[in-house]
Amino acid sequence: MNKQVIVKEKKKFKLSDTIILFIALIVIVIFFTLMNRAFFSYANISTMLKNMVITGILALGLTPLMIARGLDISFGSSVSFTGVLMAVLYNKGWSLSLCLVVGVAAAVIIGFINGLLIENFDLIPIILTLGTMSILSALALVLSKAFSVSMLTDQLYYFATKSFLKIPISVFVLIFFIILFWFILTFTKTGRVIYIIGANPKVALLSGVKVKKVRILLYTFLGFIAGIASIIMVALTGVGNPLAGAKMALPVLSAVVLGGISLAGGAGSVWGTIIGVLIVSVIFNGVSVMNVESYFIQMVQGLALILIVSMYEVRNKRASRR
Amino acid sequence: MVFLDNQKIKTNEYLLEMKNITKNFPGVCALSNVSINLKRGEILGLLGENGAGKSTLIKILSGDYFLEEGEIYIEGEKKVFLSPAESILAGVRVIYQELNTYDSLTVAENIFADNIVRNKAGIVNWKVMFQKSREILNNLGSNINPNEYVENLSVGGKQIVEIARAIRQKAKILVMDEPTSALSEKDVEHLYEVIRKLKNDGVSIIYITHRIEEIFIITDRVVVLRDSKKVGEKFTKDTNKAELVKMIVGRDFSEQYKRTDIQKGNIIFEVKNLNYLDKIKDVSFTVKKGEIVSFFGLLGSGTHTLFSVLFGDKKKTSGEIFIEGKKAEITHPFIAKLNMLGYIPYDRKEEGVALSLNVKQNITSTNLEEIGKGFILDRDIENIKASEWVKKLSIKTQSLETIVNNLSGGNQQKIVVAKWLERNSKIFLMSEPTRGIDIGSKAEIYNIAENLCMQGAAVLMVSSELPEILSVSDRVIVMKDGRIVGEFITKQTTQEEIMHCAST
Repeated sequence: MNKQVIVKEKKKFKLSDTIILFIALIVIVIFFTLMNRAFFSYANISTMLKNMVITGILALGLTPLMIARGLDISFGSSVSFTGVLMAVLYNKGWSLSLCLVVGVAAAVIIGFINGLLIENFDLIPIILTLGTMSILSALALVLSKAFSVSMLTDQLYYFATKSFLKIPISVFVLIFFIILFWFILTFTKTGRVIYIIGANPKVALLSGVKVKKVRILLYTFLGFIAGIASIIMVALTGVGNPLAGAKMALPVLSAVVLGGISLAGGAGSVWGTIIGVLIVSVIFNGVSVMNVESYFIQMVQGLALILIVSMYEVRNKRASRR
Repeated sequence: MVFLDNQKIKTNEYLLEMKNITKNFPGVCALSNVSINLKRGEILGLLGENGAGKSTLIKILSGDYFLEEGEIYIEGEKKVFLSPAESILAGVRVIYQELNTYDSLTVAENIFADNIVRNKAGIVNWKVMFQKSREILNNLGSNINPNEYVENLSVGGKQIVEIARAIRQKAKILVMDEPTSALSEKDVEHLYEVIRKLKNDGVSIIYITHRIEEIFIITDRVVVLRDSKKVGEKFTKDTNKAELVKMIVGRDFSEQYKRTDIQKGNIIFEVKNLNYLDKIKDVSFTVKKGEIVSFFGLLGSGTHTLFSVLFGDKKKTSGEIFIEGKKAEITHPFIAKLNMLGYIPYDRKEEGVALSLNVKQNITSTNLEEIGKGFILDRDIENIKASEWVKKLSIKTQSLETIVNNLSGGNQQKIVVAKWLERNSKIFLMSEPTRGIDIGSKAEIYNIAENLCMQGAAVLMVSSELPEILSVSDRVIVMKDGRIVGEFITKQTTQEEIMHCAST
């Protein structure tokens, strides 16, 4: 009897987690709409969605990695570096498709190296990727001589500006990745392995799971996602900007953590991440629409991150005290 | 008045009295009505197998565990320790097997760690600290330099530093938990001298050990615990080794559980000259189909390490493993899994089950390859397979979706077994499979092991419970310091013989 009650209570608790986040999202949307009618206009929402794509796919790429107790904060500089790389190669007369392939390949290799070093030498992920982050930012600046390198092409311009059913085309890329990651995490054996590793890596290892290989794969895949994000970035802005990814770590990590993935790993889902991305984007966009100076946007984002993480911590402590 | 005088004499007789101590943990009784006392300047030996209740008793004395039932008197005064700090203040000091020295600091800093000497300006007074440290060490007959860094000392030296700290804290009761288990012979001799000096100075010592010989070298009196109860108390001069061993191992278990005779098949598992760093040395043995072979050894004998090396969790330094006559290079648990090995680790909650996952996710975690075709996880197959094992092993759970953390220890252990049954393993490595589970579940685990053997599997088991070893297994291999030091057919041996082999 008693046990049954406990189990049911836990289930309720978990369900309410996502719902609370969703309610928070709606409250924030209502708040910004009341503050400024322009917030809820088609033009603004369409811009917001477009801006959300890059944060969104990076957060999605980070989701399985963080569930499996890995971490990478170098994805932003990977986006800058590959963007610059593609633009420089394009200006040297390489064909567009070749540039894109080389760019994505570079990002994949970066992710692979991150994973290989972290897993083979048991390094602390945040420290190692802090290192790669600064190396890549520097390389991007060296390669571009610290200027944005233009890369205007018809194909990318088309991709950046056209809409389908009034929805920007780049948003479909995000939707594609949402479905892909949801499918992988929910229906495949790989998804299950990721959750088993996250629950307890030692148990996973002693069940014969190749923990290191799976994690290296996830780092590599995040690299691939960074490559794709870089292409979208170049398409939207028309340049390879060496500073494009510098400020990405905060919104992306905030989104993932907001979505309920703790640094301790184990739990989390694609939907949590997506709501996290929505909240982060809405705050960013809402504050921008209010014509506040841009420094404040970052401040609000930082505050929101601290607030939510402390709320999760307080709740976890309460739960464990019981 | 007369009454008062009597009281006074009585209380002065004992420095420490622990009366009727009882301690229960959820589902387990760790201590039942145990009383011990200790005179000034007396050395009391405390004996018992792993899990007999020795460490629980000490942790209550040290304030690590809260005393629920029973009373503690120190110098006749009733004490309630709410924290280790209060216990230290009352003059009790425990020196654990894993020493608590600050290795990157000097000897003097260690001795004064909790009470650094300062001058009026609040600056550390190194001179006084050095001199006082030297004084204490000299009194202990040690010539360790107080300015030496502790990391440069031997284990024995570190122990002396801890004792010196205890003396500096004016400890009246010193508890030593297997102090000689990691010492060289020379250090052991020195430690004995130090202990005798302390005794002369009126310090009382509780001396915990697995080595029975030590009891006769150093103690005045000895108390034996078994199954959370005090089963014997003797003056050392009135007893002998055989009697103590008998008290430690206790009743004859073999009549309670009789296993059926199982036909033995060919050799399924063979290990040749296995080495792992300096932890496993030159280990060779064979196991036949249908056999249950136990591994026994005292703390640090390497039995658990041996199993993690065999399963590929630790990489062997050299040696060969043959499975059904074929050489196998087991470098990762994944390869062990492919070679039909299954592993039930010692630490169930940290290594055996994923506590935050549910029953079916745990059971199928070893065998995802067969849960559906290709990449897709087939939930119907998963449910069928998991519910089959839940039924076969009678795992008591609300549903297949119940989070494993909510199950009892016995049921969690059955899930670990189910993981490897699902995988169709043929060679089971079980590290203390019945540790911390209730008697009913223990019997069920034994039955599962027996059934496995009937189907041609082989079971290797590490156990620290000799009665269990004798009643469950066919053979027992005894290890000490990473080496195999003996092998017995369980039908033809006794607990005393095995214990003797493991400790000498």
